[in-house]
Formats: sequence, C-alpha cells, structure tokens
Amino acid sequence: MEPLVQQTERFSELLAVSCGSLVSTWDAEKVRRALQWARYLLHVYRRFAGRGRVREALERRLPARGGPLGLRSFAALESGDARLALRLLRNRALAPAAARALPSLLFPGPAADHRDDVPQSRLVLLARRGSALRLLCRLGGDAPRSALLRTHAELLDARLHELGGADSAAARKLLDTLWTRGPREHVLDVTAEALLLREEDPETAQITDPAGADETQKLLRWLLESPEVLAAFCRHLPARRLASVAGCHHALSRAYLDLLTTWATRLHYDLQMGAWVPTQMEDMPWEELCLRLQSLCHAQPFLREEVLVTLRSRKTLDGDFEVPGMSIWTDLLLALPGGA
Amino acid sequence: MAQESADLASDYQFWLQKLSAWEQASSKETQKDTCLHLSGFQEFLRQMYEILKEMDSDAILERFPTIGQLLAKACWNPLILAYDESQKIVIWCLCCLVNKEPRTSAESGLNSWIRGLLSHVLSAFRFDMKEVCLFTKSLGYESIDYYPSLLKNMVLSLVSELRESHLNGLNTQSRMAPERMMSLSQVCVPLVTLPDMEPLVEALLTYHGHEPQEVLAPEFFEAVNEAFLLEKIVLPTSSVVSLWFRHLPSLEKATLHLFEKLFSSKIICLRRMECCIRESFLPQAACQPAIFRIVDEMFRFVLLETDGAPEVLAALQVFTSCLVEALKKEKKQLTFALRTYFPYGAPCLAAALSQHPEAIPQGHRLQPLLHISQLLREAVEDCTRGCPRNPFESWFLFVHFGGWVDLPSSRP
Repeated sequence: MEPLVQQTERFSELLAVSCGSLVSTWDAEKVRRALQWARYLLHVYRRFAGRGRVREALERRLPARGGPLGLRSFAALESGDARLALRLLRNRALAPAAARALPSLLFPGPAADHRDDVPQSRLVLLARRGSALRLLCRLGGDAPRSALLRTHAELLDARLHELGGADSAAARKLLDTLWTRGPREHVLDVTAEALLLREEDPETAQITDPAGADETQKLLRWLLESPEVLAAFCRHLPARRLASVAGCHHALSRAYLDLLTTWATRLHYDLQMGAWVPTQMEDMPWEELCLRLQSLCHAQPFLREEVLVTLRSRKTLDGDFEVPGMSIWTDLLLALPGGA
Repeated sequence: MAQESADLASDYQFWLQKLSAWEQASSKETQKDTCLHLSGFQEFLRQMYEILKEMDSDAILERFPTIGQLLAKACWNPLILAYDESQKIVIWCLCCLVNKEPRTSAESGLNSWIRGLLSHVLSAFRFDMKEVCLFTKSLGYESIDYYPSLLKNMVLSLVSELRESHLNGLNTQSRMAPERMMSLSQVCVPLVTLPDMEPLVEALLTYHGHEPQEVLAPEFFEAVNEAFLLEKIVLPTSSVVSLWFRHLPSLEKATLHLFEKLFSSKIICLRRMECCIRESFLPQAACQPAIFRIVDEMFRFVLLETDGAPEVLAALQVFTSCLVEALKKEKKQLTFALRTYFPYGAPCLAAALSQHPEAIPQGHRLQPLLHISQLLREAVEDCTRGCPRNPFESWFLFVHFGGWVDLPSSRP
C-alpha cells in the first residue's frame, strides 16, 4: 500500500512541475519513465476504481504533495498520462532532447492503435472533439453560450464535490477566489446555472445523486453569506431566470425578496412626474422593481404568496393607504396580479 | 515503381493546391468541396505515412520540400481534423518529420515548429473570450477535462434547438432558419462517426421541417448512409428509415450494398441470406410503400438482367417474407394495402397470394393453389388475346411469395 501511495505522490509532483521551468533539466529517459508511471497508475485506477478503501486512502494523501497542479483526485489517475503529455507538449521550457523524443513516445503509430493504456487514442479523440467544438461553435446562435454555461456549472459542481465533506471553508475559499478573479458577470451566470443543475430532472436526480444536494448547499450558503455577491446576483440576472432559481431554493427567495423590499424603500414619489423615482443613480428603477416582483409571482404559487404577504404587511405598517402615491407598497400591490 | 512515384507526385500537387484553395475562402462552396474530398484526402495521407515512416527527417525534406506546408494547411483545417482518422494520420506524419539529431538551428527550429503544430492540433478549440478562459483556469481545469463535457452540452443544446423548432411549427420566429439547418448538416459531415454526435445526427434525420423542399445538405445524408453501411455507426431503425425516405440515392446505395452481399461469387445459405436482409433494415423501411416500390424495382431489374437467377428469386422471396413480418409488427396487414405495394399484376391475384399458405390448414391448400394457377393462366391468356397487361408482371408478382412458389413441389 505504502509504495503505491509514494508512487502516486511522486507522479503528482511530476505533474505539478510539468507546466513550469523545472522541465529544462529533464531528458528523454525521464519523460519515458514519467509516462510509464502514468501508465502504471492508470492500471491502478482501473483496478481499484470500485474498491472504496484503497481509493479513499489514496485520496486522503493526494492534495497534500501535488497541490492544485498535481493529481487532484483518484479519478485524475485515469487521465494522468494525457494530462502530462499535453502540458509537456505545450511547455517551451522542456529540454530539447526530451522535446524531440516526446512526439514518438506519445504517438508510436498503428501498432499502438488498439492499446488502451497508452495516451495515443485518447489524445487523438481529444483532437477530434476539439475540431468538432470549433466547427459547431462557428455556427453561432445560442447553443455555444448555453453549452458553455452548463459546462462551467458542471465543472464548478465537480470541484465543490471534490472539496467534499461538511467543511465548507475550502468551498468558500474557492468561490471567493472565483469572484475576485472574475469576470464577475460570468461567475454570477454560472452560479445561477449551477443552482438550477439538479432542478431540471428532480426525480432522477434524487435517485442517482442524493448527495448532490451538498454541492448546491455549499454554493447557496456562500451566496447568502456574501452580501456583495448576493446584491450583484439579484441585480445582474434577468428577472425570469432569477425567479426560476428562487423558485427552487427557499432561502434564496427570502433573501431576494428582502433585497427587493430594501431597494423599494430607496424610491420616493415625485409629484411633478407622478411616479416613483430613484433617489440615486444606482438605485433600481420602478419599472424593473415591478418586473422582478411580477416574475416572482408568475414563477411559483408559493412565491406569489410570499410576495403578497410581505407587501401587504409593509403596507399596513405604512398606514394602509389606498390612494396611489402615498406608500410604495400600495402602488406595488396594485401593479401585481391579485394584489389589489 | 517509377509510375507509382509519378502518380504520388501529381497527387501531392493536387492536394497541395486543394488545401491552399480551401484555406483562402471559407464559403459554403469551399466547405462543400472540402467535405466531398475528405475520404480521398485521408487515403492520400495514409499513402504518405507509409512512405514517410521509412525515411528520416532530412530524406523527407529532400524528397518533399513542401511537406511542412501541406501538413500545416491540413492542421489548420478543422473539417479535415474532424474527419474519421485524418487527425491521427496527420499527427503520425508530423512525428516522422521530427529531426532526431539536429545539427543546425534550422533543424532545431523545425522540431520546435512541429511541436507547436502538434500542440495546436490537440487543442483545436480555444475559448474566444479571454475571461472565460480565465474562469476555467481558476477552477483548475484543462482542455482534457472540459472538451468531452462541452461537446456533450453543445450537442444537447443543438438537439433542443431542433426539437423546439419542430414543435413551434407555424411560429416562424422561433423556427430554425433553413440556412442554419443546412450549415449544421454540412458541419456534421466529417463528424458523423464521432459517438458524441449521435443524438444530433438522429435529431437531424428525424426532423421534419415545414419547408416543402429538403433543408439538409445531401452530403450529410451520404455521409450518414456510408457510415451506416460500413457499420461505423449504430442508428435506430426510425432514423435510418427517415434517411432513406428523404434521400433517394442513399436508399439505392443501401439496396446495392445488400445485393453485393447476397449475390457475390460466394454462395450463401438461406439462413445467412435472411440474416443479411433483416440486418440491412430494408424490410422494415419497405413498410413505407414508396421505399418498397424502389427496392422492388431494383429487384425487378436484377431479375431481368440475370434472366431470373435462382439466388435472386430466393432473395426476393426472403425479402417479401421479412416485409410481411415487419408489417405484422407494425400491425398492418398486407391485404389492406396491397394496391400500394403491388400496383402491377391483377388485384385478385395479389389478394390470393397475400394469404400465407402456412396459415391455411394442411388439407385445404389445394383449392387456393388451383385458384392462383387459374388466375395466372388467365393473365397469360389475356395477353395472347391482345390485352395490354404484361404476363411478366403477373409472374413477377407471383414469385414474391415463396410460400406459394414452393407449394406445388412440396409434399402434401
């Protein structure tokens, strides 16, 4: 067991440095050995994929030595050789002798066509898939963007799953990093997509992936505990999309509604214009406020209930005016279905 | 040897010119032209590889000084890289070109350039937007992680776009524009055998548009048909039937492919014949009268050309019985639709023949057999009295039904 763990850690270190300048000291023999190790680990993966204990033991030791650039999970053993191959091919720092040997090591030719433990066929498949993506994206339309969003949501989900267990500190750190590096709008779009990931097919999701809710919970918790992100989330996403996300997650719908009511208090009634206007430039205008509340009402019956109850209680607190222009809550209720 | 060399040299020039032409313009016509030449170019690449693998870098450059240009142009053409095994053979050719002992900086430069090209081929898709790239990196993923997932989602998005377009029939705004459908089908031509694309291929084949003419590119149907006949893809029966229904040349090719299997020099037993016919999906497709008529026509032609060769007759009979079986599965009965399947020959004859002799109890088969024989005699005599009905038609109709043909010679 111990030799296996050591081998895995050593390969993980190799993988981690394969992107950097250390490879200038590598020779052809080292590259060959690295690929051999990768092949051995691929066999290990196939042998132990179904065996929980070995898998867990390896996974426990992994993130330590390799870092984020090394082997990140047991599953990464399956593609270690291809990953190493791609990094070395792209690395301009690789010593010339090693770089010369690389192509024929990776692509031995027709003899290796039917072997499933060398990277050749998997790399060739990658090339074909890349061309497919290039061709399909060239067509334009909505498909590339929606596919990208979905893929990023799935990848984010996978990363959150990796940072397993109840420890959400690591998850929060990852999400904070993503938010800082940006681009922010994309992070928000991906977050929305990730929150909707399991909602499309709830029945099968329950059966095949009962623990999947963990990743969603981590994401939700981060969102609700980061006021800046939450505010940006609720302003940036289109009304309808946000309403569908809110419809799936009760805690989010509450927070969203709270934000909307806070933003509503920023508006004041302009007698000359006969309308509710924002106090400052960055406040949410009346039309958008109405649209968002309307979208919530249309999304789900329980959301409509919540909206109406909230607005009605505010209206009462304000003095229960029926005349428009006195209390924003009165006017908002008038603008909503079933509010009057 | 010299002739082969000369042939290769002229082929080489031909392909170099073609590749240059294709990279100049990326119009619909160029795309179409590229798709037509994909398999030819792959063959050429294979030939080149066989030659290159025996030579070292210096020898290659001496014999083919423009080889770098040729391979580079191939690498920058996504249609070529997407097709079948072309990307693999191009990679192998590039590996042959690596100089194992570079002495000059030019030679080292060549190696560096090859590596760059290999790198490009292996990551043919890069995100357009730098920011998106950044996000993927921040998550710690590389192309090997997200290509499969992105392709799967891309296919899913396109499939739902097709489905929605289909459902929104009369709503022209949400319908997929015919030009877009045409481009989509063209782009799929090299990708037909990539397993990830299967849902999209199926969705395209079964998409019944609302335009009066065909919106999909004919080369798409050809590519799918070819891949299906060579057993490089697996498709559900409904998709294959749809393919043949919409693209006549594919149906004809499929029937010829079957005939080649059945009537080649090797004599095959009836059981094997039945297997081939059933696996070809043609009987199931022939439940559509329009398809049946074409296949039947081809059988008729072969029968005439071979003067009624026994194996052709046998194949026709097996085919008809498979058809009847397929119709039964679809809960249709031959009796009701006879006229549509057999517009030739006397209707009463067709009606009599459609009843399978096995369905009639043992002792009562003589009467219907005599009736059929009577009808046939009348058909021939009708002609000798100057009636326009061709006796061949009646005979041709009769020989479809093996059960009746064999009955007189079988034991009572």
